[in-house]
Amino acid sequence: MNKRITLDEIRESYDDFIDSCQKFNYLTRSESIQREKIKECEEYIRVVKSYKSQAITDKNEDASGFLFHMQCMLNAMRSSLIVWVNVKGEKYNEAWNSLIDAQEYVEVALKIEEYDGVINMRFHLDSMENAIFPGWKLYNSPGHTETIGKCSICGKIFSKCDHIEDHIYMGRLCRRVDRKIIDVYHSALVENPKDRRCIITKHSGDGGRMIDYFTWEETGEVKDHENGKIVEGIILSLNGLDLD
Amino acid sequence: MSVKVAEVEILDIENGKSGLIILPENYLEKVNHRYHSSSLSFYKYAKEQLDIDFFDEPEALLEQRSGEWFGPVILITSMAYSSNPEIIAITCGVIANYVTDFFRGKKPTEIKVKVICKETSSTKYTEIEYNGNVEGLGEIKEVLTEVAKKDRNE
Repeated sequence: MNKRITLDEIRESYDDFIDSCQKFNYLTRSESIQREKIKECEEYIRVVKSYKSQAITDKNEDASGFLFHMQCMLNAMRSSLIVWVNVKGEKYNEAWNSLIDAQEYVEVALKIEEYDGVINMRFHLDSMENAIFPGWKLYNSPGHTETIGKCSICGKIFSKCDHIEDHIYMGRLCRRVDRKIIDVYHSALVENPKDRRCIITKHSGDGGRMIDYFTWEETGEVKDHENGKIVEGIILSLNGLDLD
Repeated sequence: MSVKVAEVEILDIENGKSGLIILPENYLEKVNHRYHSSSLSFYKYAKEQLDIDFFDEPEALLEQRSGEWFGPVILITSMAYSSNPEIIAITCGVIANYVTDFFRGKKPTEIKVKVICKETSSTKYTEIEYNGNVEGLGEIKEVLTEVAKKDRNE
């Protein structure tokens, strides 16, 4: 007969695994080991989600919540390791998006539990951001009308159920999904955007020559800049975070 | 932090309703109403504690992608205030609790909320717009209470 694993045993194994990954969460560590750790994270996430499915079947809200916390922290670790791989491959935009993914996973994890390990992870990610990237004073922030969409928890039209956005139900984060944009009003430049993936990626320099914001290298494109400086950026990003 | 107070000339929008009403963001317009995207979740949260309803059935939501929390536009009907003078304090408490829950795990940011109340002896409505942190929500409570007191003393 199979012995049923306890939540304490899962947590102990998870703590050891996170520690083993964190040792490689630095620029100088081997890229090939970082890639291995990313795969190990993916496998571990699969295992934790299977435990969570069991907890959901058992209608165990506390266990499913804590397993969701682990899922988010493992995803944060995976995303932060991907940052290094992308930086080494000079894929800076992808690296930035992975860093924001990691930070957002930690935010969700903190809704469930707050302890030194999570706070340290948040600090580590903030340090990565400050050390690697130039910093953006302004981000894009569009304003639009959209349809109500459906509830990610029950699938009903979001106005027809009682689930609340950003609350956690049985190990899943409630979001409005299947939303459709009806009308776009504007895009403003703001210091504090909802989505920090919406960055300026290029701007025009002398003679309208476009410059990559990450590298400050000329891209080879030349734009008509008679009416002012040209900037290119990301207006809307559809992140695919694993929050179910 | 800022609190702006303005009188708004609008036709009676209480529509015979009591309690609190969540108004569309463009409530001065007669058609094509759109609600702040926070409105639905706030309504679900608040309806457990307050007598609250929408002005009309939400069909379109306004999504603003800056980091501030854009709260719904809330109308405190004259009937709601006359039947429970504590409604202002209770409403501010519900908003504060909702926002605190919403931002759990996130870095602190500003909130923007509009609350509208009617001076019962006139057709005037007073709109109070608050921009600031959660802790400062007490300011909006004080301004609303002053508006309500002024009306009672007139």
